Amino acid sequence: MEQPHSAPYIHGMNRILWLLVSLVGAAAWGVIALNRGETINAAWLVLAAVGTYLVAYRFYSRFLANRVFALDDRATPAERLSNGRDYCPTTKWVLFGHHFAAIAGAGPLVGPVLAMQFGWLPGTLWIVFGVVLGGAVQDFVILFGSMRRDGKSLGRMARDEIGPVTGFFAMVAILAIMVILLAVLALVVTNALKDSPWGIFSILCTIPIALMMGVWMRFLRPGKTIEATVAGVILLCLALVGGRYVALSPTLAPLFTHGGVTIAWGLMIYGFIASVLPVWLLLAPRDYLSTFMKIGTIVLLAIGILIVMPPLKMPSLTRFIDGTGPVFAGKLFPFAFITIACGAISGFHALVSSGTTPKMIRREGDARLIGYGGMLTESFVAIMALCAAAALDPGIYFSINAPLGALGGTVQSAAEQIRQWGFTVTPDQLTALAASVGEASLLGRVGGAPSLAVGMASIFSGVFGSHMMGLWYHFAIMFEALFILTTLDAGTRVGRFMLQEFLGHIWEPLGRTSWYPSNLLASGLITAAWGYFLVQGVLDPLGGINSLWPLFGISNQLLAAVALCVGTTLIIKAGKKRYAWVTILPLAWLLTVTLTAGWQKIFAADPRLGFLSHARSIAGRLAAGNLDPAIGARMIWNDRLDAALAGIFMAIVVALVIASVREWLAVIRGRKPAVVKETPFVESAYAQ
Amino acid sequence: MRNDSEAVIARARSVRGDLVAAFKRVCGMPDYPGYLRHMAEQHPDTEILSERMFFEEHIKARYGGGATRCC
Repeated sequence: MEQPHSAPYIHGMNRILWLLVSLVGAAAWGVIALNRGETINAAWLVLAAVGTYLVAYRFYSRFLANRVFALDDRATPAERLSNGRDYCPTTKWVLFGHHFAAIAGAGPLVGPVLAMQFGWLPGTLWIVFGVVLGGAVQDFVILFGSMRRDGKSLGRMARDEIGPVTGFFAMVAILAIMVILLAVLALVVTNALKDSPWGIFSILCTIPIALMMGVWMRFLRPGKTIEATVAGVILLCLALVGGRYVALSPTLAPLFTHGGVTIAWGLMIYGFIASVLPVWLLLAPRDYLSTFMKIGTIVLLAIGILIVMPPLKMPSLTRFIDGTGPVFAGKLFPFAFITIACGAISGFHALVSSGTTPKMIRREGDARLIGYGGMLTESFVAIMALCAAAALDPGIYFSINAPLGALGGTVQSAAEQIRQWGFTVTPDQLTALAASVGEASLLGRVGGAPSLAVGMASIFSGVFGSHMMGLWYHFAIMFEALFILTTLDAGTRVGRFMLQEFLGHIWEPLGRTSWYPSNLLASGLITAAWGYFLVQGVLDPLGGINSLWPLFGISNQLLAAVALCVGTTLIIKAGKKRYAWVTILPLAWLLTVTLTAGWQKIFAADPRLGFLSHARSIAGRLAAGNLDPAIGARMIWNDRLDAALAGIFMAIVVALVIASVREWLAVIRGRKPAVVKETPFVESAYAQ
Repeated sequence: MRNDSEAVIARARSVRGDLVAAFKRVCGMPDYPGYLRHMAEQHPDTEILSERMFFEEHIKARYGGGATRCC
């Protein structure tokens, strides 16, 4: 078949410009490659990343759009089914912003910070090249597929194009991943807020603020979303300032100082209630508020990094690439690629790319900017988070991100342990840092959010002056917690819908989303599921992030593998098998990484790494009488549960890959016709 | 002169309206003026929802099911 766009004619000026962009990018990579061992400025990372994104967008995404997907002038679902509501043709830059706001959450901020234990180089390479060849391709292919099918979901496409069994397993995988995702995000918030009256007060304030906005938008001034949101942001800033007075007040501070377990229960109660309340009351206003804050803060961070241009104090590679690191167990390969999911490639995006976005695309060609370009922008957010974390002193970084169990409870013990790891930090520095951000202690605040907040606060202080460090720190914490809570609320609700769909097959009334008892039951089950992992994570002496984050990474990457299987099937069935490598290449890499990581997490002999060997070592300590039997039994049970979960994820994906490969071979060998289930072609009215 | 300044004000209003609509779309908020325009252009005979009803319909469609957010 002849391609609609053959050899593009590149104008002379244009060619010089692109040559220049490529040269700047290449020069920045050169500086990074040659300058190892010395301190390097964050500006080089930003330049190298942006140069690579521009070149990849200009050339690779154009190749995907023209050759592989053959985007054309057909009318999009937004045009054909336009109803002024969910199906609505939207200008491409506006939709780009909307799509970006929907895909970028806490993931791209937390993953790069955790992976910093290997140094800044592995994360940078994976984020930049992973997104260009993997993540952005995945988002683009799923957006394309869904756009050609009236905005169908990933699960529906898997069922229609590969088979009903595959569709069912994809649904189960999505539900299980949702549970792990919610648990790990809730754990990040818990660790950021424990024993922090300032943090707890300002986060608690977000709830009545959102409720007030909800009432405002529905009853007082119906539909006035912007004015309600602006008022909400102002109140949020007041709550932030108020938090400082609460923290300093001897009477108020104890009321807002709570340990991890109490906060975990609070989050569960919040998640449950929020997911059964009407959406207009809490979820929608909170969503507007967090989107508002998210876009604002990310822009602020980008400007801050450009102004301050911080030197990266972290080494490019640390000694922990051998797998002995305190933040999480496991070697550089495969765990750097598991720890950073969002920002490089994130399966979760396939759900958004086959959700609201495909129903709003005005012209087919816009999908390139929105799908591929949107993901490049998320990757840029990940690079900024990485810069903010790498600008921290390594000693400070490890004092916040290593579990308390490894650091000991005092600044002296922590400084001594960090010295043994080969980094220098004095007890006084640790005390002074905590005091400067208005906290009693920052030791062992695992989960990435607090160290990122310290990094962001230092950058903002570099722009606005250092007297506001505490305010910026809590601003960053509130910003992260705000959209994690939105995810908890929305995620519990989505999980509830999926569970109700399953339960409806067992007993029909349970499937009715309008029946309140069924809603309560399904929400309760979902909350209990993620709440269980959350509480176990809080009780875990190694901080929980240690075992839960890799599990989340594995599940998220496996969902990406499902999406790439669906994408490959679409490409092959469209008769483009010679281009199938665009999705098979990242798929092969993801399978290698995740199956290796999954295998190691289950079976590795090192008890720090393998769930089963950890269970055995606990059993040994129990037998020797060194451990409380109740605690030991719980830890063994959790290890086995985590191992089983990792095993189930792997089994589902292997089954999906086998089903997909059989489908591909059947089409390639001509045993099955190469037919896609697209909506028939109608020419767009915008084409003239 | 008067006509000129009126035209400028009208133009500024429409730019402001466009910016507000764009911003709302980015944040996933409902765009009521856009809906009114769409109904006037495409379905002039159909009944038009009130702003409050439109807001409720939008919320129901947006959060009714499926994932709208990522990690």
